[in-house]
Amino acid sequence: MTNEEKAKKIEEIYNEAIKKLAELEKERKTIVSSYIKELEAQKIDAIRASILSDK
Amino acid sequence: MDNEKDLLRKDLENQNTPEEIKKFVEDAELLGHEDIALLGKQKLEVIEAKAGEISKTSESQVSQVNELGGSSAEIDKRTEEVDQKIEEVQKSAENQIVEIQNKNQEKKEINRESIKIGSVFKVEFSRGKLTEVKVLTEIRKTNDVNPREYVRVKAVNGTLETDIEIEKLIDADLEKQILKQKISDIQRSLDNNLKIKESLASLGNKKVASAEHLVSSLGVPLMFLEETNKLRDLIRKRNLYPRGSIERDNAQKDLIQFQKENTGDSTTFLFYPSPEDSYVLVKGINGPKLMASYSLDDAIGEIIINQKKDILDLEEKIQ
Repeated sequence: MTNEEKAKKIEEIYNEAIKKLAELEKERKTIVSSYIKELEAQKIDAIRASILSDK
Repeated sequence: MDNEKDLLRKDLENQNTPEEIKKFVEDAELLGHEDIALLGKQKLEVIEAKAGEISKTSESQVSQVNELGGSSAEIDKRTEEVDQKIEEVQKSAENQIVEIQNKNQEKKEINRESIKIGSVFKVEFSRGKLTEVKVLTEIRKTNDVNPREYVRVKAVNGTLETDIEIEKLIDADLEKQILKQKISDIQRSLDNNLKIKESLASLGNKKVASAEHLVSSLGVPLMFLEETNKLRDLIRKRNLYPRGSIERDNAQKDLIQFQKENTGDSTTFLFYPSPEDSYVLVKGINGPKLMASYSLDDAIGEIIINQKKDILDLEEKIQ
């Protein structure tokens, strides 16, 4: 394998890894956002329940 | 490594379009072994930095979770699987790049006619060490489905006697000439790099300094323009954003604008800097406008160490 081929191959591996990492970054952000939404929903439910019990 | 190659290697870091990559590949024939090693190292550093960055939950999200009564432990639990995948991507890229770096260069085909009883060749029995051997038999073939050609050889200065495939025989004289040529190439480049390092060290806080011995491989004299972290900061900022994002595009525009302001040309040379280095801009004198950054310490220092080591290894091989 020549050095030009090696450089090309390393570039391909790099691009592929960065692409996969970008996808995983999105996936990770979605997981944390979903958790936050879940917590927000729980908080709203708790407030609603507290208002209803006051009535 | 000479400056032209250095520029080319570092330029690869910033290739974003197929045209740019094609241009790089055309120039890549100037790359040497040490460039490949450094290129692989730089790519792995970027991958590692990216993997580390995305495995962390942003402070704003953590505080949001805490305010809502959640916990960091729950975040860790939920992201455990994806973090594992991130680590796997990083490790896999590392293994693949190391494998590519370790692949042997194509060896010149040996002349079959020269393989005769009594002729002397060299064989790499253990990695990096060549042993002189004498051929004891005519060329034979194995009985496999895909027969391989081999000869019986004996170590010239030892008692080892073994069968060896003929493509593993290295012409001793030719090998010696190649190694000597390699040493002379590395030595020339090493001398130049030592001068560059000296000049960089003497640059200090000066904004402008000439460096007459700093000449590209095409003979274009280069000069230092200024010491700057601006370039590093711009590239670092751009690399924070994922490819294809609007933020990255904007950061890339800022970078090109900086290039234009400094060189009047947007197709100049840049390279990916490691986070802690300081850089100077250089430009061709009476030559095509180039702009590149030289690490004051790491890049040149590391190249020098590797070149000295390579010379010692090659000298050992010749003996």
